[in-house]
This record gives sequence, structure tokens and C-alpha cells, in this order.
Amino acid sequence: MKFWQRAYLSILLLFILFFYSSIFLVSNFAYRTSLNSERERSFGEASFISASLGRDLSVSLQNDGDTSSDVYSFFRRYADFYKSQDIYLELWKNDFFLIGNIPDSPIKKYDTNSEEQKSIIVEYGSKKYLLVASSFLCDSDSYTLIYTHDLEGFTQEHNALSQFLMLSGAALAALLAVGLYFLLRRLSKPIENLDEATGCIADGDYSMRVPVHGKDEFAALARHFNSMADEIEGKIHELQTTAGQKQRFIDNLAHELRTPLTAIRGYAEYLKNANIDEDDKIASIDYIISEAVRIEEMTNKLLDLALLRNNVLETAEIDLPELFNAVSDKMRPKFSEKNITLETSCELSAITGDRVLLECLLNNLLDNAIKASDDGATVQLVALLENGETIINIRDFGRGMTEEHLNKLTEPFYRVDKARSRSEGGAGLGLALCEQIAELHKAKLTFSSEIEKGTMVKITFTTP
Amino acid sequence: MAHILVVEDDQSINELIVRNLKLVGHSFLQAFNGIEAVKIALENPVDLILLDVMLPGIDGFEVIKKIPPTPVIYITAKDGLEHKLNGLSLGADDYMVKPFEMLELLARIEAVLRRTQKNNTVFSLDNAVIDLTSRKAQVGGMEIDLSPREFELLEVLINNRNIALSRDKLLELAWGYDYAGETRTVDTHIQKLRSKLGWETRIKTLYKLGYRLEV
Repeated sequence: MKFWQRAYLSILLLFILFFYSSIFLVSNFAYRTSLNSERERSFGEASFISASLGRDLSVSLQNDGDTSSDVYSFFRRYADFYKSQDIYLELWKNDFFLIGNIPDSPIKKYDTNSEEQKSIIVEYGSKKYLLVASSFLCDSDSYTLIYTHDLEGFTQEHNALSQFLMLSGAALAALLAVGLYFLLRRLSKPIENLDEATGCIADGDYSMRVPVHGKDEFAALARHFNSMADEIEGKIHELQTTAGQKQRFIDNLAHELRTPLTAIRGYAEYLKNANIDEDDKIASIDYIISEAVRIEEMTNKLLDLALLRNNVLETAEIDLPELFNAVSDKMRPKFSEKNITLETSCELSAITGDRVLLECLLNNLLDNAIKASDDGATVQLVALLENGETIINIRDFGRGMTEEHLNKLTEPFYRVDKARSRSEGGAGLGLALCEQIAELHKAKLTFSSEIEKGTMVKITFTTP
Repeated sequence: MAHILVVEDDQSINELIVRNLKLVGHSFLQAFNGIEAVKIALENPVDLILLDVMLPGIDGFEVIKKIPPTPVIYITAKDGLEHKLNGLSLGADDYMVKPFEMLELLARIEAVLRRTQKNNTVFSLDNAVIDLTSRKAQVGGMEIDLSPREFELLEVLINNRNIALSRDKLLELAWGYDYAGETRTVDTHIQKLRSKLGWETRIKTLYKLGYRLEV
């Protein structure tokens, strides 16, 4: 059973219990009160009737000395008069029944001296009567007048009231049931939302969030839950990215090894089985050697990457213009091969870092710039100070690349144009290496590029 | 034999394929990128194209759309199913996944050529003339009797001429993978072929290597 259903039933049952208890108490109290006043009235009337009857009898006694026949006619006068008011009378003389008009009366002597017997409720036939006895003396005879008031009307009135209370109670309970249903559904909505969201997340949909309304505990819970879901989603995403990168790394490594190995195996088989001349043999052996060198270079770079990851930097003050000169000297053959002009500009005199690694970084980036450029183009190498940070920019005006490539550039083996750069001799590890070097120097590599307009690599050193 | 265009951007692998094609008597053209491949294929009608999927400029699938219908065997580095399906639905006759064995490539080439070439393939050497389509052999104008197995072996030798084939390889290619015979069987069949065709010096026994039909 759901929480709201449990709450609903409990509240409804409690309400009905308390409400009907109150109705019962109230109606009981009302009944007693009105019965008491009824009793008072009956006492009053009974005393009045017995007093009047007593008086009438005394008068008649003084007049003719005998009362035995007059008693009946007097009594009948009173009895007939009160009958219309649902009041019935009975007269006893010295413990003997004289006359009465009470329907279904058992003609029974009541002990009128006892306090409790002064007013009792009796049942004659199927009717209830309030019975009051009142005594008077006349001519040394003791008379007792039994006064009974039919309680039917009174009971009916009471029953009508009770019925009204019961019915209005039921109506209120029904109203409460409906109101409570909507209220509880509304109040328990946040729990349902939470339940739904946790279910979704448990099933692996980490993008699920709970709507937050108001400022109560549920809202706080929902907010906390959402931030927890954010955290989990972020972590999962991170894990997926890393796993994806690792998978790509392994795929790529396998692929990078496959191509030269296919060639090596193919040429070896060719040498072994084919009917060929000396020149052919030498050419084949040359291919085997160059492919082996390719694998060697790649493994060296991979090793560099692995070593750099655990490396502690040996930093020193480096003369930046001198570093630029050294790099451009070293790269000169590659520049002149494609007839590319290298423009250098250095506004800074020195930089702190590992000279060998920084040279490697610049070499790699310039190499990429050359590969991206057309013959006769220009490549810029600029060092400058921007907002107190040392910046080195390498810019080419070559092919450029689309946005989607920029994020993956530094992944090992990632190539923008897979086939082209392989034919140009790259293993796709250069930028991965560059990023490692930059990271060691607490520097950041940012790439911006536009198709057919060129690419700019910005190295931002956070430490001077 | 056949005129084949080899499109592969990796210089060493392109050379390797071409050298092997040359060995078994095919003529060839080379292309190292997609644009070059389209240009050559449009200018020179060829019997078959060996086409690398990942090419600089335009990829293999694009190349095949731009040229007149030609039998093609794709060469891919990735053995993903999508590549295979994509290749075959684009009218590929077969595909090879790198790394591959040259003998396997040559066998696939023969199979595709046999399917697509309508003219008879006749191989003649010295006095012997072998019609691979009608499976008949003549020596000096006289038809000779060859058992089906002998003819299988002869066909394997011709298709892989100038390449040494080990006894095991010959068993595999001429008898089939599931043949549980001994390598001695190969020797006796080779002897019969030599004497029937007069190829005593043509089919060479190579120390530790096996046999080679030298042309």
C-alpha cells in the first residue's frame, strides 16, 4: 500500500471515529438535558394537578362530607383535559387503585417515598412514559397521583436530531474523503516524482531530474537528489569518455601497428617465395627496414608519452629568442622543402621550463603547421605577454579543420585526415606528446581553426 | 592476364601488391589517392580495381561512384561489419581486411576475374596449352588426360606462378582444408604433372620451400 493511501485511510478512519464519538456525546448530553427539563416540568405539573385535586376534594368534603363519588368526576375532568397533551393520570388511595387512564398500565403500586422512584421511565406496551408520583392528604386519607407523560414526541425529536447529526457527519466525512484524496495526492506528488526519477536512474538513465517546487523538505530532498544525479551523470560521462579514449587508443594502436606489419610480412613472404632478381630483393628489404623504422619511431613516441606522464620537470631559465632560433634552424630543411616562410617574433627575453621538452613541443607544432600548409605559404611563431601571462602562438594559413576535430586533437593516434597524415609520415602522436609537455609546464594548449583559412595553436603559460 | 588498378595510399603496401600481381602475370596501374584513382580509372579501362577504403582526398566509396562500373575488391583496415555491408552494397565484388596474406589476395582476384571475365583464360608455356575455363590441356597439339585433382593442382600452380608454394599450402589450395592426406601425395601429383606436360624444369623443387612454377 502506498504512503498516501495509508495516510488517507488512517486520517479518514480517525476522523470518522472522533466525529461520531463527538456526535454521540453531544446527542447524549442534549438528551439528558432535555429529559431533565422534561422531568422538572412533569414534577411541576404533577404537583399542580395533585394540589388542585386535593383542593377540589377538600372543598367537596366540606360541602357534602363525602368524597368517594366526587373523586372520580374530578379526576376525569383533569384526566380528559391533560390527555390532549399526551399526559395520562392514575389515582391511588391508601395504596389502592382508584381510577386511571394510562394505556396498558400494569396497575402497580410505586414506592413514591424513595427518591429515585419520584421520576422514572417506564414502558407500557411499546410506549415509553415519564412517570412521576405526587401525594396529597385529604380527610386523613393518603392519595397518590401517578402522572405519566408519553415520551414518544420527545424521543422522536431526539431521534430526528441524532439522525440529522449522523447524516451531516456522513456528508462531512464524504467531503473530507474527497478533499483529503486530492490534498494527499498533491502532497505525495513530490515523493512519486522522486520515486520515478530514482527508478529511471537505477535503470541507467542518468539524465533524469526531479522537478523542484516550493521550499519544503521534499523540495530540499529533490534538490539534493538532483545534485547527486548531476554528480553521478558527470562521473559516468567522465568514465565513458575515458573508456572511449582508451578503447580508441587500443584500436588505433592496433591499426597503426597493422599497416607496417602487413607490409613487413608481405615483403618477407615475397622474398621467401617469389622468383625475383637482386634489385627486387634489395627494394623489398628496404621496404621491410623502413616499415620497421616506422614502428620503432612510433614505439619511441609512445614510450616518451608514458615517460612524460611520470616525469618531474627539470626547469631552468631559457633564452626564448635563442630557443626560437634553434628551433627554426632545425626545422629549416622541412620549411624549404615546401618553400614555406617562417615568420618569428619574440617580445619576451626568457621563459622558465625544460629546454629539451619545449623544443620538442615547438618542433611538433611547427611540423603540423607545415603539413597543413600549401607550398609557398607562411607560418608564424610569436611569443608575447598577454594579461601577465606568457603566450606562444603558432599559426598557419593552411587547410584548417572543423570544430569537431578540435576536442580530439590531442588524443593519441587521432588524425584529422586519417589517410593524408599517415602518408606524410605522422603516427598521430605528436599532439598527444605536446599536450603532455604543456601539462608538465602547467601550460594550456588551445586550438582555433577555420577550414581553408588556417589553424592557430596558443600555448598559455600560467607560470612566468 | 588481367589489367588491374591498385589504389592504396600506403606506398609500401601498394608496391607490395603490385609486385605480387606482376609475378603472376597481371599488368597494373597504381594510384595513391582517390582523385588520382578516379582520373586513371576514367582514362584507362581496367578489369579490376583493388581499392583501399581510407584514402586521402576522397574515400574508396566515393571513388566507385565516380567511375564506370568495374569489378572491385575493397581493402579495409577495419573489419567492422558496417564497412563490409557498405562495400558490398556499393557493388563491391569482394573485400579484404588488412592485414592479409598475398596468396589470399591473389586467390580472391582470380575468383573475381573468373566471375566477371567472359573470355576464355588460356595459359600456354613451352609446348603445353592449358584452357582453365574448359579444363582441358594440350601438349604439342595433342590433348592429354589429367585427373580432376591434377588439374586443380595445375590451376593453383598457374595462378600462383613464380611464387613458391609449400606442400601444405598446395594441399590446402588444391585438395581443400578438410583433406587429411599426406604431403607425399603432393609429390606424386607434381611428378605426374611434370611428365605429362613436359615441365620437368618449369616446376622447380625448392629446398625447404616446396614447389614453384617458374615462367
